[in-house]
Amino acid sequence: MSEQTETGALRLENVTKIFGQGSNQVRAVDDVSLTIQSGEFVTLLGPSGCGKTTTLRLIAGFEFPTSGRLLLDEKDIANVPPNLRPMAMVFQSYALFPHLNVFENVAYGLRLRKMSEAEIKEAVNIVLHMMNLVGLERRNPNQLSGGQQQRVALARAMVMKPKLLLFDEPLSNLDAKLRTQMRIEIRRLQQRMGITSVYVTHDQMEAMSLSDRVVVMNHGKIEQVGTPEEIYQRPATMFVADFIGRANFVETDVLALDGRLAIVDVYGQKVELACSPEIRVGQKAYAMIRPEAINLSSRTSDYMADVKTAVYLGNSVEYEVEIEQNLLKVVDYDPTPGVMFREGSFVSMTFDPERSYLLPK
Amino acid sequence: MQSLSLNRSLREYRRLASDWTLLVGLVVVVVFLAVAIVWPLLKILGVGFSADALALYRKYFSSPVYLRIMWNTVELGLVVGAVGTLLGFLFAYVQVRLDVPLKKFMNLMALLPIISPPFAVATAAIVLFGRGGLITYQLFGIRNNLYGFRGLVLVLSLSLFTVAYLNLKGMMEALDPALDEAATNLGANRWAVFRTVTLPMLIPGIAGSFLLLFVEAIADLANPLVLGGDFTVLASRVYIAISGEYDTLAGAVLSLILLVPSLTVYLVQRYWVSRKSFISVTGKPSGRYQSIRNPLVRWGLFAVVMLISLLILMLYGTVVVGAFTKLFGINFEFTLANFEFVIMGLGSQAMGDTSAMSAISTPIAGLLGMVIAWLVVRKSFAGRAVLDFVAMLGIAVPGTVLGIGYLLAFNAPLKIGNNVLLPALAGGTALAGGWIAIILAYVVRSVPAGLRAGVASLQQIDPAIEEASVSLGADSSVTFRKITLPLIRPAFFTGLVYSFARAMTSLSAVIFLATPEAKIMTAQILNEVDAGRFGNAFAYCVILIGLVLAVIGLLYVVVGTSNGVERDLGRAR
Repeated sequence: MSEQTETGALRLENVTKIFGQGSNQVRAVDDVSLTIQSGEFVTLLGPSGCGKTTTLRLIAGFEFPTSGRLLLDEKDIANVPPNLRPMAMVFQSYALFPHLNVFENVAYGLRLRKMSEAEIKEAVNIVLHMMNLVGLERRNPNQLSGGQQQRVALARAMVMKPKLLLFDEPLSNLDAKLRTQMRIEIRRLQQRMGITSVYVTHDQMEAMSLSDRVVVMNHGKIEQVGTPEEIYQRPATMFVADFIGRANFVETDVLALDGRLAIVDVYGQKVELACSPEIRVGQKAYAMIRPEAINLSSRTSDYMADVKTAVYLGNSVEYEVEIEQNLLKVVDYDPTPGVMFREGSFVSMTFDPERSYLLPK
Repeated sequence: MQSLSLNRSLREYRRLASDWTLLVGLVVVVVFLAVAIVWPLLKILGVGFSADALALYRKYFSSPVYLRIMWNTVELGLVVGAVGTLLGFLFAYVQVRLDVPLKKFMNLMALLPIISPPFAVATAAIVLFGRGGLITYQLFGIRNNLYGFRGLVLVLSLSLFTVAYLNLKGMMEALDPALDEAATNLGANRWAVFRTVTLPMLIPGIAGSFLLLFVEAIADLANPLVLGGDFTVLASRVYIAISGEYDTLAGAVLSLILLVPSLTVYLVQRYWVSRKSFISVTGKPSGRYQSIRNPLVRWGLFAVVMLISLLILMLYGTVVVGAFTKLFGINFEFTLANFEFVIMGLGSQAMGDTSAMSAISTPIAGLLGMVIAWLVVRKSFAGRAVLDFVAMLGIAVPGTVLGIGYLLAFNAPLKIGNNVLLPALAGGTALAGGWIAIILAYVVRSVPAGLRAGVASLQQIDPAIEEASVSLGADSSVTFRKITLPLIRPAFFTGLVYSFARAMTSLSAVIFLATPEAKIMTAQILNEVDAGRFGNAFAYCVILIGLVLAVIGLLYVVVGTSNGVERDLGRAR
C-alpha cells in the first residue's frame, strides 16, 4: 500500500511516569512496555485513572516519561518536543480553534509547513471531501453539530498524513447512535490510509470493534495485550475478564492438566476447560463462565439453581440464579417467545465449557 | 528524594529551554521583574535595615507624633475599607437584585472612578463642600472644614468603591437562585434568606473587598496631600520626607513601615480569603432571581444608591464645569483660559510627556501581562508561583514605596568597579531624561491587572486547544500568537485599557521620578491644586479623562471587542 505502512512502528520500553513529589507521588504509568506494528490499530482500554490517557500523552510528547524509552521507527523520541513529532492527535473535546473556520482549522498544520496556497487548498479539499464536510468550509466550529465537529477534528489530523494518529476518547461526547456511526467511519479511514493508530477509550465496545489489538490497563500497568477475541475468550486476569464483558467466577480445584486444558471440578462435576498458562495441578483456580455461556431449562439435571431475579429486555432476558450460595449472572440472548423463567422457580443449568476459561486464583 | 525532585525541576527547565522562543519569553519576563520590582525593593530593604535606619525606627516608634501618623493610616484604611465595601455592596445589590429604573446610570456612576485622575474628586469636593463651598457655605451658610479625616473618608470611599462593586456584583450574579428558592421552600422569609443564605455566601467577597480597599486606601497619596490638612498619614509623610526634607533615609524607613500592613493584608486577601469562596464562577446559574417586591426595601435602597450616584455625578460635573469657569463658586464666567494653559501653555509639555510615556508602556504592560499569565497557567516549571507573586507585587506594594525604591535603585548608575553596568535611569542626569524609569514604573503598576484578567481568561479555555496546535506542528511562540492571544483577546483588551488608564492617572509611584524632561500631568495637577488654581486643575482632569476615553475608543477599534472588560477589571484588581 502507501509508504506509511512501512513507517510508524512504535515501541515503549519500560516507560514509567510519576506525577507529584514525595508522599503525593502517583505512578500514573508503571513500567509499561509495548510494541505497535506499523499500520496497526491499537486501543488502550481501561477504567478512568488506569494510565491510558497518560500513556497516550507520553507518546504525543505532552508529558515526558520519568524513566523508560520511546522509540518511533527505532529512533528514540523521548526528547523530541511534541510539535516536531510526526503525529497528530484527535482530542476528546475536539479542541477545534474557535476563532478559525472549518477550512482554516484543517489548513492550520499545513500552513505551518509553509506549503503553497494551492497545495493547501487541494489537500484540505480532499480531506474535507473524504470526511463529508464539503460546504461547511466557511462555518465556525460553534455553528457545527457535535458529529460535524468531530469530523473536522479528524480531518485536521488526517490532512497532516502523520506517521501516528492518536485518539483521546474522541467519541465520548457523542450520542450512542452517532458513536456507532463514527466508529465505523474511523475504522474505514484508518484501514484505507494505513496509518498506525493508538486509541484511548474506556468503552469496551469501541475497543473491540475498532482494534487490531487491545491493551487492557489497570493501575498504570498493562494487564493484557491481545486481539479482541483473545482478551474476551482467554483473559489473562480476573480484572480483564470482569472489565471486558461480564463474567461469573466459580472457585474450583485443578484436578489434572493436559497442555492448555485443565480438568476441574465445577459444582461437583468434572469438566475440561481451556486454561491460563499459570494454572498448576492441585491449586485453587477460578472458572470464568460468561453469562451467555449458561443455559437454563426446565428439565431436571445435576445443576439445579434458584432464579432470584429475571429481567426482560426485549432482545434478551437477564437472570440472576443461585447455586450453592453463589449468585451467577445469566443472559439468554435468544429467548423463546413466551418462555421466561419466573423469579423463585427452580431450573436446571448447563454451561458451555468451550466458552469458558480457567484463571489462577 | 531531594535530589530527585531537584533533578526533575532541572529537566523541566531543560525542556523549557529546548523551545527557545519560550525560553526568550521567560528570560525577558524574569529580567524585567528582577530589574523593575525585585531590585528596587531590595534597595529599600538595604537602606531600611542599615544601622542609621535602626535608630530612626526607635525614634518613630517612641514618638507620639509618628505613632499618631501610623494610627491615622490604619484608621483611614479601616474606615474607608468598611464604607467603600458597604457602598459597593449597596450598588451591586441594587444592580443585581432590584427591579428599579436608572440602573444603567447607577452602573456608570460606579464605574466612573476607574478612569478618574487623582485630585478630581478631592478638588471638586473642596469647592462644593469645603469652607467656602458652593453647597455648604453659599447654600447653607455652613463653614465646613472638609480637610482631615472626614473629608478623606468621603473622597476615598467614593473613588475606591468600584473595586468592591465589581467584585460583589460578579459574585451576586454567580449565586445560584436555586439556593434562595430552596431556603424559601424550607420556610424562610425574604429577610431570613438574605441573612442565612445570601450574606454568608458573599462573606468571602465582602472580606476580600474590604481588605483590597484597605490596601488601596493606606497607599493613596493624592488625596491626603490635598485633603489631609493636619491629618497626616504614612504615604503623605513619606512624600514630605522626600520632596520637602530631601531625607531619603527617613523616606525609606517610613515606606517600609507602610509596606508591612499593605503587604500583609494583600497577602491575606490573595491567598486566604479568595480561597474561601463558595461560588464557582464557571457554572451558569439556572433560573432567575425574583426581584424584591417589598416597597420599603426596594425604594429605600433605590433612594440611597440614587443619591450617592447623583453625588458622584455632581462631583464630576463640577470638574467639567469648573474647567470652563473663571473661579468656580465665585465667578462662573465662561472661559477657555484654563484649557489654553494646559494645551498651549505651561501644561502642554506634561500632557505630551505623560501621554507618550503611557502610550509606550501600554503595549509592553499588556503583552507582559498575557505572557506571564500564559506561563503561569499553562507551563509547568518550578518557580511558577513565585513569578506570579512577584508580578503581583507591582500592585500590592504602595506606589510611594515603589517610587522610593526606584529613586534608590536608578538615580545613580549601577557600577561594578569602574564599569557602568546600568546607567542612571531616573533623575535629572538620567538616560533619556528619566523617561525609562517612569515607563518601567507605569508597566510594573499595570501588569497585575492584565495578568489577573489573562489568568482568569486562560483558565476558561480548554488546554487541549493549544495542545492541538502543538500536535499539528506549532511551537510555543506560534501557538501563543496564533491561538492563545486571539482567544484571550478580551482579557488582552482589558489589560491594555487598564494599563493606559492606570499610567495616565498614576501619581504616587512616579511623583519622585519626574524630571524637567519627563513631566507628569498628575504632578502638575497637584501643583495647581496646591496653588489654589482649581480651574487649571479641572482642565487637566477633563483633558486627562478625554485622552483616556479616546484611547479606550481607539483600542476598541484596533483590538476589537470590549466583551467582559468590566468583569475582567473586577477580577483584575
